Amino acid sequence: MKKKTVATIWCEGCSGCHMSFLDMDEKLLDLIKKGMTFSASPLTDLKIPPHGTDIGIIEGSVATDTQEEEVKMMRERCKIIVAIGNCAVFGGIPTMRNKYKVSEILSRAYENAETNYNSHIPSAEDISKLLEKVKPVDKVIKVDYYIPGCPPKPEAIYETLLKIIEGEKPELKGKLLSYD
Amino acid sequence: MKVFKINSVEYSTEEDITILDFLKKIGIYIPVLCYHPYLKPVGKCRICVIKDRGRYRNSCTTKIEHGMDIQTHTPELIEMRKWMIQFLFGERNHYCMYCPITNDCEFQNLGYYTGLDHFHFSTYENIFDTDNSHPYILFDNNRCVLCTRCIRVCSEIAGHSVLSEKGKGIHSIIVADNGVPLGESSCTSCGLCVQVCPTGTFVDKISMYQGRSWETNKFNSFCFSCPVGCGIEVYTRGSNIVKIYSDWNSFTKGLICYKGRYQAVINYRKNRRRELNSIDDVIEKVRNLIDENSVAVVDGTLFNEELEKIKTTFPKTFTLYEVNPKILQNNIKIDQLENYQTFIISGWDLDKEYGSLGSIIKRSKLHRNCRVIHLDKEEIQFNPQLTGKAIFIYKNFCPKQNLNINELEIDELVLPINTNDIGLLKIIGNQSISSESNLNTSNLFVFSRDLKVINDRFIEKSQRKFLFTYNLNGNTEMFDHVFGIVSEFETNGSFYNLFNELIYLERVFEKEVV
Ligand code: SF4
Ligand code: SF4
Ligand code: SF4
Ligand code: SF4
Ligand code: FES
Repeated sequence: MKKKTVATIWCEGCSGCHMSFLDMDEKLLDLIKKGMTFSASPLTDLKIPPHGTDIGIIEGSVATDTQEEEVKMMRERCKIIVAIGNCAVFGGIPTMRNKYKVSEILSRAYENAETNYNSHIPSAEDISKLLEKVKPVDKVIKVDYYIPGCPPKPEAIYETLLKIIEGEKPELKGKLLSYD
Repeated sequence: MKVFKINSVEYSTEEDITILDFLKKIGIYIPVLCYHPYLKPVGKCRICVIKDRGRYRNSCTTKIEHGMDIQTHTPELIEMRKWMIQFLFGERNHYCMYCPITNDCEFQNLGYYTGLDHFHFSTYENIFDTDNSHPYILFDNNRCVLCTRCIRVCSEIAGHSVLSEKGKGIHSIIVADNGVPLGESSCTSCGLCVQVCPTGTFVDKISMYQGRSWETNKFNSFCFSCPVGCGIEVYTRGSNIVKIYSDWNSFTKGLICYKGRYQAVINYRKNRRRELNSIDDVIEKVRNLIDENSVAVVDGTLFNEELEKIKTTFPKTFTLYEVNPKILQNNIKIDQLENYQTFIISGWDLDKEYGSLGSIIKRSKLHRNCRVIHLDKEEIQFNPQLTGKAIFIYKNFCPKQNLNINELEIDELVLPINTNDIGLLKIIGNQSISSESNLNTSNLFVFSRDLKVINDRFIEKSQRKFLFTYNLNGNTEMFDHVFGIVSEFETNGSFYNLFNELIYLERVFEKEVV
């Protein structure tokens, strides 16, 4: 049986999509039996998948320069990219900040929040920079398949991965297609 | 006879019918958005597009014609509809997970129907203010698809004509009174805009998060909040009323007002979980206190069956107030109101009482150019050339009722004060307690679902005073004992509406909620 390697990352998301992934429960074992194996993923705690990874799963929207690099890295290293969850698919909750300027947001959080005292906006080279606008993943890289939902339904993740592993084209129908 | 083809199958009809209505008849589903079965079609959204001999047409506004060759579901049409839905999703904020109506949304269902799983475009980034100024309605233009159903229902059906569209293209928004907050506008809170809106733009605050439509049970019933007796749909979940909608298929054809839609729900929730009894049960509880000097006082908030029971139980039964016996002669039916050209009204406010009747009069003025004369505000100079038929509609005894209407051949409609005043007159008769000056009572039993005023003088004379009421928050201080009685949702009963029609209400809740 040919192994299918899966890498997952999460960008501007809440990890709910990864929870949903784990909520596949025994069906996760079913996928593993059918040949799914993990490379880099929060589940294995490896950060960078090898080139030629079969499936790259992205949770969360793209909100920082680092995340922009990360999703590009995923595109380079994975044959198929699946955006999971409303943040990755549509932009989701993080886009609520798109109404404001980045400077306003940072100032509100680090200088003017009610709980702050004498604090300032942190600045260091290794801190990611916020992008002007939060974007869904497909505004940065090409996405092959989408699983919307907040969080996406475990059954929808299962059906999509199963189809990909079996070499078919996944399509969400009926209750599996959900925006909430 | 028109002969035509739909998806290569030949059909024929004599009817003057739209393509959409014909497709419905033969069971072919076409998605719609701006179309609403009880409003005039405007062909705005184009979701219902079909192809006829190479031309695209809106099926909701195009009539069937002889020789048509209609295609409904070609791959091209399916793709077009999907794109149009996607444009609409992208133009506003349709991140469903923040929306109070998600999982119970017509527009969202269109997204699912067309298989929309991502957007090709950036989403609309212009953000509109959310209007939370209205007591019952949350109004958020960020979710509007500009289908204009709300504008049409507010004008065509409700006659209030509060809403309109302002601005250009995708930047336009729905506004009340041309741009004031909804709560400060002339909105009468009939809630019909909420009922027809296919998105979460107009949302009922008292119903959100209480249960989605498919989690509720629906009962067709009639409103007991005023003597119009509008047809309603009561949506319940457990012992809660989630929402009340108007019933398009009832004799009031979709009309409703704030009392029936919102206040009835709020009242019900306020008194839920109190000890409430049927009239039969409550009479058993006090039966040994009824002697030959006991007196019962009743009003039109009670059902016919309850009035009968009280009348046969007590030696003397009086009405709480005087009712104009002319209400027994009300013989106009609701549809006949469309035949009048002049409405003369007195003693009531078109927007605050008998709301659906107010709607009929307001829309007659708006769409049929009728004249509405407010007798309380303007002195009427009766010019004999009054064109068309006229009707005088006034509440109980109005000060202007001596208007010599017989000479002018004006019809009359007398509005009862409480819902079942006609039943009250028919069953109890017109013996009002206020006209009894020297009555000596031992025990006084007052029955009223919602007691507003009672004559102190009379109360003082009685030794022990009992009140049987639904509104336990109401006027109860002067009574020695207060018992809760069931609401209109917890009992079977009948009443006469103001058109003198007998209406039966079936209980909505199986058991009294204790
Ligand atoms: S209106 Fe409907 S489609 Fe739009 S956000 Fe609300 S639930 Fe989603
Ligand atoms: S609640 Fe009724 S009156 Fe108010 S805006 Fe909506 S439809 Fe018009
Ligand atoms: S508020 Fe609702 S009913 Fe009115 S135009 Fe917008 S989507 Fe349509
Ligand atoms: S007009 Fe009267 S019967 Fe109709 S909804 Fe309003 S209160 Fe109820
Ligand atoms: S439903 Fe026909 S044009 Fe909108």
